[in-house]
Amino acid sequence: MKTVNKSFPSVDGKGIMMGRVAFTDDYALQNSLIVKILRSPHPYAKIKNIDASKALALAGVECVLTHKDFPRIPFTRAGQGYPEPSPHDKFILDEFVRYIGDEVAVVAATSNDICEEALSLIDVEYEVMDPVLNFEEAIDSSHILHPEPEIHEMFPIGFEPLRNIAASYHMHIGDVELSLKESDVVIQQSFYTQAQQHTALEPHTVNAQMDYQDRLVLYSSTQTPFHVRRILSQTLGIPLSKIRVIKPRVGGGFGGKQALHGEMFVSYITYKTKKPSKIVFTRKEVFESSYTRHPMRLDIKLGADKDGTLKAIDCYVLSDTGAYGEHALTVFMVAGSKVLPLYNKVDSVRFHGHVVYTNHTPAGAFRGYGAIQGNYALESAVDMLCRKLHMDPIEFRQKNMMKENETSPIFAIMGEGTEGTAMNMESCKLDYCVKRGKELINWDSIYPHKNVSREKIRSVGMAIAMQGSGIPYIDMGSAIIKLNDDGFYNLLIGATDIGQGSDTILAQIAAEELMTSLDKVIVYSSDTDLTPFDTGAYASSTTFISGNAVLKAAKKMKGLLIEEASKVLKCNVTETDFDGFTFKNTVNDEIINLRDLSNRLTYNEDQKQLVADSSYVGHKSPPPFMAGFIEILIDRETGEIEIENYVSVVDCGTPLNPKLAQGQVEGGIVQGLGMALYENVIISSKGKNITSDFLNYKVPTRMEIKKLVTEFAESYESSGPFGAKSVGEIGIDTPPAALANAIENALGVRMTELPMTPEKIIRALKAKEKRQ
Amino acid sequence: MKVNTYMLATSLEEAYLTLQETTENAILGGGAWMKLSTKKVNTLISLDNLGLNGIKEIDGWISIKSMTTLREIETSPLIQSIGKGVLSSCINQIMGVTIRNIATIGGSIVSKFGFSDLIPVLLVLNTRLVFHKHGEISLKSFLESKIVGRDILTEVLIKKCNSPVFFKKVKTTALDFAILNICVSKTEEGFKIALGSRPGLAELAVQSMNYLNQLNTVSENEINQAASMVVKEIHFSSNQRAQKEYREQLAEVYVRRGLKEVLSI
Amino acid sequence: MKISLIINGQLRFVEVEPGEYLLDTLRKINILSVRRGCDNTSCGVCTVLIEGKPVPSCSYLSVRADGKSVTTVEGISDEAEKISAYFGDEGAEQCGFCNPSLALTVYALKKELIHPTDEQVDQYLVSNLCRCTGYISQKKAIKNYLGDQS
Repeated sequence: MKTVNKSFPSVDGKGIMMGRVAFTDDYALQNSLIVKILRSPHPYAKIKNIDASKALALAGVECVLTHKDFPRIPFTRAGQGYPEPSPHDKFILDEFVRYIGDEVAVVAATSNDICEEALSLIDVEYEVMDPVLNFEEAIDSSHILHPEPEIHEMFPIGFEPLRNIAASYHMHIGDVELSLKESDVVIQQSFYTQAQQHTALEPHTVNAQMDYQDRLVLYSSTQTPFHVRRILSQTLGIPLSKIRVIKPRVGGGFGGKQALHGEMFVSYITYKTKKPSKIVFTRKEVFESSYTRHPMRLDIKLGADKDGTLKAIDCYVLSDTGAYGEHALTVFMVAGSKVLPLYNKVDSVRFHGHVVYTNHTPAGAFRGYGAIQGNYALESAVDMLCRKLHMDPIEFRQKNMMKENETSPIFAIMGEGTEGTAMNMESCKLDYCVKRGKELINWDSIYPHKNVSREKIRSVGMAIAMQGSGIPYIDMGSAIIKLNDDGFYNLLIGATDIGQGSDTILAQIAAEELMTSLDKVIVYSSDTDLTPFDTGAYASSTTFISGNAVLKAAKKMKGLLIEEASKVLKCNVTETDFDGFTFKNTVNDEIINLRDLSNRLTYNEDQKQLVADSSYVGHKSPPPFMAGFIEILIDRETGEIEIENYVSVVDCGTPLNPKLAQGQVEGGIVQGLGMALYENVIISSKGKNITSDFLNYKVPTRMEIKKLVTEFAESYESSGPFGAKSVGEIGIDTPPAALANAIENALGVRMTELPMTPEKIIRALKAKEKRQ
Repeated sequence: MKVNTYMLATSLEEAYLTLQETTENAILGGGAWMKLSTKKVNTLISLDNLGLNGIKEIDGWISIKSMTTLREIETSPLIQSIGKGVLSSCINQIMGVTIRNIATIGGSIVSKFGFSDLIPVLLVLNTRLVFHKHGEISLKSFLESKIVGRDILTEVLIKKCNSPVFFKKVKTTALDFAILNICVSKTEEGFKIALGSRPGLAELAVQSMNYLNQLNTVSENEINQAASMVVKEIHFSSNQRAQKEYREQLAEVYVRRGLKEVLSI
Repeated sequence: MKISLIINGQLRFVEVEPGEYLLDTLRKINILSVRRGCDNTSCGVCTVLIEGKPVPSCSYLSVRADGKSVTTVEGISDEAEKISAYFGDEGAEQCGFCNPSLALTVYALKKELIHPTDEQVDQYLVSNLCRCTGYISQKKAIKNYLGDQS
């Protein structure tokens, strides 16, 4: 392999670092109307009246829009396959507001200051209603978030809005109650995971303008340009053919941009006024009014025999989707479907639960997508079980975990709102990952802990994880490759580079198959007018799904080239040899190079444009696997934790660009460590987010991250492009459980709530002392 | 913050008189936290052209002009002569270099922020403040009263000392405000212990200090006794960063460790 | 108010409001490498050099920069190109939203600190947040750059 499995720099890295125009706001026209949103100060209220007359009288105010201006069409902002597994429970603007930060009215004005002044001049009369702020009390509460009759599910997802239930689900294999009864050892524990915020450094940003064909052109910082175009058309009634969505460079997504946030407003304003407009969320708006991760309670029971054979897993999940049910069912499902198959030899499994509405900021997609919550609960519970069994947690995992060529019945049962897809693990090097990670972290010399000083203890902990590679039969990617004179190619892809480097990796795939160098493949992505369809950057799908599409298109292009060359060389296709630059007639050794062939096709003889296209839909979702190991220093008197090292050994098939793959893993690890230890969206008793800036919401800085060791297992997934699986999410899953296990290995206390702050550790220690 | 007019003062007296005109006029310090304020300011008075920058040594004291940035202090060799460079190691933990390039010592003191990392350190040192009209006053008196009123801080004086000063900022990440600041010193004036980010404004643990200062020898038992006295005399409370009980635990642990460190035991 | 700024070596006169921040002024005149991330000094993406020192332009009043030199990454493009090669070698680029400001701060660091330790480098760059890379690849790239340039 010449171009793949090699660490090329990102194709866009240099230009971006040099400050070139690249991101959405850089493309906004200078005369854009500034769009701002008046947001609800109440967690739940009915808008009785809006008087915008004073705001409208202000010079420079273009318009003030309220719920009366928009068609009342229920929809979901979630950018997912259509029809969506999320309920259509949101209106662009509504007469009800359901969380602090929900949209009340929209202002467009000629400057930021005028816009802000206009917002302060809008008089809104609210009828304040009792909110639901405790998700454990949401079901059948007398306060119903969504009584409106128009809202609906697109297909059965267990949607019961009058009970505050956005989605629900139940599955079982075997008889869990019986298996637990028959087990020698049983443990039972509830785990709580918090709301986490993506905090992509680029806030949600959109701008719109009308082009010279009177079409709406949108630049959007989105993970799903094609879903954006469809949803805008469906909700605003603008013909799809009149909308063009361009995704420039995106300053981080992590799931937070897998939805529409400001797109509806700028589109409507520009389409109506014909004037360009833009919205840039403030950091406060990103925190209060975009998305968080779904907070969950996971009740787990495990049963095992004395010899350490895991027999039963029982898991009930209660998930908080906030005010709207975006990604409600699917995130919940992944908490089971991409976690439970890790232990595929059990007699019985049950997974069930509810996703409930509350008057919180809506939860949505976030890297890990339920798997991190499920992993924290299951991998913590496994260590608890091992403690009770007096068994080494690594031995236990080696005995019970998924192995290559095995399967789990869960794959066939649990899909994304529909049935799943059965599959065998044709590539699964989890055993290697565990063995190698154990060496790298120096497990045997530290486990369970070592006393470093009177105050400090060193300990280790670990967890295993799996994710997926796209959603089978739903996620589709496609590619077009065009030959140019001079012998270079354009690669046009719908796939969405949001910083993960997919433009680079997809170009590498094309270059490899076409046996050319990377600089001969000019990649252009994510423009609904110019590139073919792609569902977008989510569900760890791009390398696997879009990559397969690129590979197929490149194969096709190779065929076209050889066909044309054989005509010139006057031989059969089978007699034509091609090395990426030169075609050779193997009978008479006559040659023509690619450059001459393409110039000839462009200008001289038998002129034509060579274009190859292809698309790909997965028939399975081969999971990447990993083992994560943490080494910590913990202060037994203060609970303060220093992260000394995090070892990741990952099976993602062939890493097509090892350094970029490493970047995906390590970025995920650090976000996972953030969730495990520091990050917490704190909501006051009045429903207000009191951590809505970086001074109060703590993401890890470079000072906390001292050492990460990341390695890849030798692995080849035959269904993936050049043996690759996806790697976007897998890194985030293990840190919470690995850290919780390390804390127990150090201090003998089990942390069952995230984040595991030093304060909570001290509280747990004191409670333990009291019990003894 | 909304600003009506910006005035580049040409003299301290002009700045002072403008400040007295209305309570809507304000002095511009480093401006690092201006964005956090929603206040409307009529005239924002800039001291940038008044030469209020610089660090020098005068008769065993280090003089720092009020508009000197935290970064200038942190990197000044003169500062190393105070408590073995404790100000450098404290300032080093205040957010990042970029903000320390704008934040000033004057702004850090007169804002009287509870989260200040600098104030508890200055409290355990011998620190005096010089105001344009009010003249010289100890930092402790300034923090405990409102006698200075609407005046302009021009200079901070810190007594040089050779003994080590213990400073611990308990925080979530390196960019966080403190959960608790603990500062312990033993100089020729005896022991001093200050607690900041309680979360209220930093205070000296006077009873505990008095207890230690009347002893002939201080060993493990007395240290433990002093640490538990701190928890009883200082008022801690809860906020989103920590509960009262955890702050008490931290105070006891780190006062103990701090005393041991300054006594090298 | 009319102020003069020496932006990347070029004298420019700009009309600003008394309470206007430098970030808004620079974007207004099309200096687009300076970006808004958090708007309260915590993330680093708005960093510019004033008289060679890195400051958060989101919280620096434009009037205060009157007559001063303001450097953005456009003013150190040769150096940024060099730094980008080191980032490329380590796969440390990712979304890049913060990279112009990071390059600028690394450049300032190089001018200010002689033979810094790894910890000093981390401390200097601590308010340049990154949500993509997990930092380690950045640290390696910066270390290699500083090592080769010193």
